Amino acid sequence: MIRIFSRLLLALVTSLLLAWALPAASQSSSPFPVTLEKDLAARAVNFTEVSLDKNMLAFASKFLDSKKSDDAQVRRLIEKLDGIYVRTYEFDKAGQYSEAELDAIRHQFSSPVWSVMVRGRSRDADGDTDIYVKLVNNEIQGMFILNAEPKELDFVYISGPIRPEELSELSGNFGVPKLGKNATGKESDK
Amino acid sequence: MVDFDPEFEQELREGLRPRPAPTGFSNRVMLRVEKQASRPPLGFLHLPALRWALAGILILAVVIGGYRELQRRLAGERARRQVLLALHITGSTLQAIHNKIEPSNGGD
Amino acid sequence: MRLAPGEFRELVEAHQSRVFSIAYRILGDSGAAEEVAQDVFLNLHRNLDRLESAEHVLAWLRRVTVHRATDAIRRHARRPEFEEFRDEGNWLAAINGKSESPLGARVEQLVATLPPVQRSVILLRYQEDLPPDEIAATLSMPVATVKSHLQRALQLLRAKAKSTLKEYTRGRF
Repeated sequence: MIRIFSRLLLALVTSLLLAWALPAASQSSSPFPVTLEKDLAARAVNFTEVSLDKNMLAFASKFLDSKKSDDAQVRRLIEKLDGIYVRTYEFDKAGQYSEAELDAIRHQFSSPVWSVMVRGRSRDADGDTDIYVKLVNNEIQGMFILNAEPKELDFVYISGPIRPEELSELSGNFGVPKLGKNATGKESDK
Repeated sequence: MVDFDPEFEQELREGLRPRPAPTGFSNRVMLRVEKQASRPPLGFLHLPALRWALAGILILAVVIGGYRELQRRLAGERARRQVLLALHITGSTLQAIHNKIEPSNGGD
Repeated sequence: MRLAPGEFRELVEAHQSRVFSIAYRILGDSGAAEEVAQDVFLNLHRNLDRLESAEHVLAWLRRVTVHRATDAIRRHARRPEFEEFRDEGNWLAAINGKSESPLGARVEQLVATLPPVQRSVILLRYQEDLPPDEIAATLSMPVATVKSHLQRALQLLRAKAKSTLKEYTRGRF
């Protein structure tokens, strides 16, 4: 009887310790080529990678204070989304990424469901811009945004239903200046 | 329901009056009761070491539970900040694209 | 329920006949009946804290005794002491050494021929004088089932009683 109890005790303690040791939240996988991300990060002086899948968005949503207007707005934005994946890389000099690498990123969004909304190619300081949307039954169910500048590379993938007006709500909030004014603070702006 | 025969039922009552227990029955019962009372209850929990171990586990469970809740809250705050950051970067990127496309709106 | 020292013995003495009788009349064997009865009181001693009153104790004793005795029947298929009484022609043997009174012996012999459940119902009705709803609570069965068992048992007992009476009146003593 004592031996059985001792074994139960050991099992219980082990379970408790394992539960304590396990990480609180799981990692979200990347929709972009992982090797490329690592290479870009290695060359960047600063980089930010944020990956939020549906579970993480739902988890974060619980900690948004609906009494604060900003948080309430965020909750409205993310509540139907399946994921937000953001990458931004700053380099100390131009030429730290190639067109082939940008093509490799764009290739992830090349299936027939994706439509090009904006495509800009420039050899000067402006760099490349791309906005693709995923259309399902004439509704936007995803968006890919890429902005490439000589010393900075940003790309975003939003998965899930988005209304364009919701994106315009981003301007003026979360530290983003309102559209129509030169307020990004980036040196490359004209 | 059939009407019972009251006489027969009375016969049953008289015939089924409790019969006496065997002689010395209560003594034998009390002997066993006293023997039972002298045995420690719940065997293994009588051991002080195991009682302490059980108390320790309960305390550990409470501490771990509290720590997990704190971890959860911190993780939640991190997730919230990440959402805000992601939306900020998205907004900035769109703004930059907009400025490129419509540079006249981007100037002073 | 808390008892002062000595009070538990008084409790045993107050109920030992009842408990023993129920066990004996279900099992038909005095040795097995004493074993069950002792176990019942030992169990009572362990569970006194959960019992709130004298009435609660009485109801508990009835319920536990019946259940333990019927459990014991299942374990011991044979009931040697009453087997001879199954032969209704030999019921006189019961009078001569087995019971306090001829009537008691006769009734016990008749009741012993019933199936265990009906036996329990009859004992609770006529030894313990319980109404059908309390019998139902004791045996954890619906009241309608209790009444059905009671009816059937009394029919059987009446039929057997008539046939043994015929034997009696023919002067076989």
